[in-house]
Amino acid sequence: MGVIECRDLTRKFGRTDALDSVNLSIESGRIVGLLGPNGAGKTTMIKIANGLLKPTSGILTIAGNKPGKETKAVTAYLPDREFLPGYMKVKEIVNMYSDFFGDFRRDKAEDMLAELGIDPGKRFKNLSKGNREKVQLIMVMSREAEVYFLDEPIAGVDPAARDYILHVIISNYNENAAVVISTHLIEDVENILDEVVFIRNGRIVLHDNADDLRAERGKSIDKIFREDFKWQADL
Amino acid sequence: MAGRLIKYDFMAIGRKLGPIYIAVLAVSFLTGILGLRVTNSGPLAVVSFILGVLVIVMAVMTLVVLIQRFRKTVYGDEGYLMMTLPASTGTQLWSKVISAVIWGVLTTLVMLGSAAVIILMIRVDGGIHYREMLVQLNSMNLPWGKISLTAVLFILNAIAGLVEFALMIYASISVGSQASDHKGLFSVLAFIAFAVIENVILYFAVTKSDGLDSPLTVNLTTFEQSLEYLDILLFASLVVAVITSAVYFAVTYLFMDRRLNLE
Repeated sequence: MGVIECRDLTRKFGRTDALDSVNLSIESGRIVGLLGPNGAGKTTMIKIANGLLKPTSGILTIAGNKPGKETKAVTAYLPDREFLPGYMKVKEIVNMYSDFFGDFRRDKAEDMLAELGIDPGKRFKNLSKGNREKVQLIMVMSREAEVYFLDEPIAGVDPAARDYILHVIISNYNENAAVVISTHLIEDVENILDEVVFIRNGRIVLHDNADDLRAERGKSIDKIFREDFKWQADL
Repeated sequence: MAGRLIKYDFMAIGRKLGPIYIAVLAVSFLTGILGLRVTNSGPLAVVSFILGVLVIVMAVMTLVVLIQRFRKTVYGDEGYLMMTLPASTGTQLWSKVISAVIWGVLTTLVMLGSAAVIILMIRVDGGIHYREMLVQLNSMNLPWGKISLTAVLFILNAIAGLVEFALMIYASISVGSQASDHKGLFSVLAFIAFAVIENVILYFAVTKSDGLDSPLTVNLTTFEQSLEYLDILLFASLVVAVITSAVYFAVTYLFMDRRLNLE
């Protein structure tokens, strides 16, 4: 059984099926790309996994538990927006993570912040956009969680920041953990993915090993995605 | 976890309310000094007016800051952090209620402190003779035991009132947040609807019950009898506040737990 399991997971918004009978199993130790155009259902699935939405029907479990207090203690989540309080200084944010999460590695976070030359005394809202993204990622990746959900971690940042973000993800994730990266910018992330999940209109249309898929189709994941989602991808 | 949630709520709210608390107390002190020394009443009137405005601003700000904090950290962008912390929905909600009560009490204490500073400093006709007042109070043979009970009931009522008001606001925000647009407007409408429903139910509960006689028909001849009657009223009001708080808690809990849908 995978560390993340979805069985017939469905979420409706009015008459729209944001997720439609999704069945998915993700094992520990894998970096998985949840790939699909905007509005495909990626964020909905991640929100359900983090207890921010309830499914209409079906079930999603993290390490055998439904999303709740227990799963939140072992799940690290990077949302697709700025979520840290702007008035807080960077060192206060580090203290807050240390207070709230038992698996937070303060030394790791402080080392990464120092490496980037981010002043811990600076308020979060006064950092550049790129640095705000990086601080958020550093907080999330400094946890020793069992599951990481990174929702659009590289959207809206410059190529140098993208490289740094991907470097942080691969060099800091816990090897016994599962990492789910949701994105529509596939070319930039495909080299770090072990598995890919294509999602379209709330349905899983493909779930495969990244290397096997490339070998089988003889092209990059990005090319395969562009072909499979032709005229639908909002890229 | 509740303690840590309250700590961060306290820090976030304190940075907004702290300065206004200091301003109110400082202007109170200035009012006291002017009342003490200045023979011309012009400056005293100006400072008193500023103090009055500051006290109103402080009360309004307390309410606004508590509303903003709840909306932001539960249904806004900060909800992506706060609502994914390893805490149950009940713990999250209780910590917000406790936080609101603490700030409600602090604002009240600053108001009382402001009044106390002025009263203690201003000396009319050679000052207020506190010692003589205490001696006179002692000689009146008042039923201190009964007065203490009434005072305790009064304080419990005030705290229960704060809890109920905070939960009513939280429930209104939770209902308003379900709307796709104009969430603020829908929250206000929900608040009005809750107030109307609460008052209609209370009206029927009071008129249909025969538990308590009107003060006009009860024979209240002694101070003790009046206190006893007041105790019954305060106790009834406490029971109503506990029941309505439980209802608003349940409504808010259900929305936070089942209908949370951050943008």
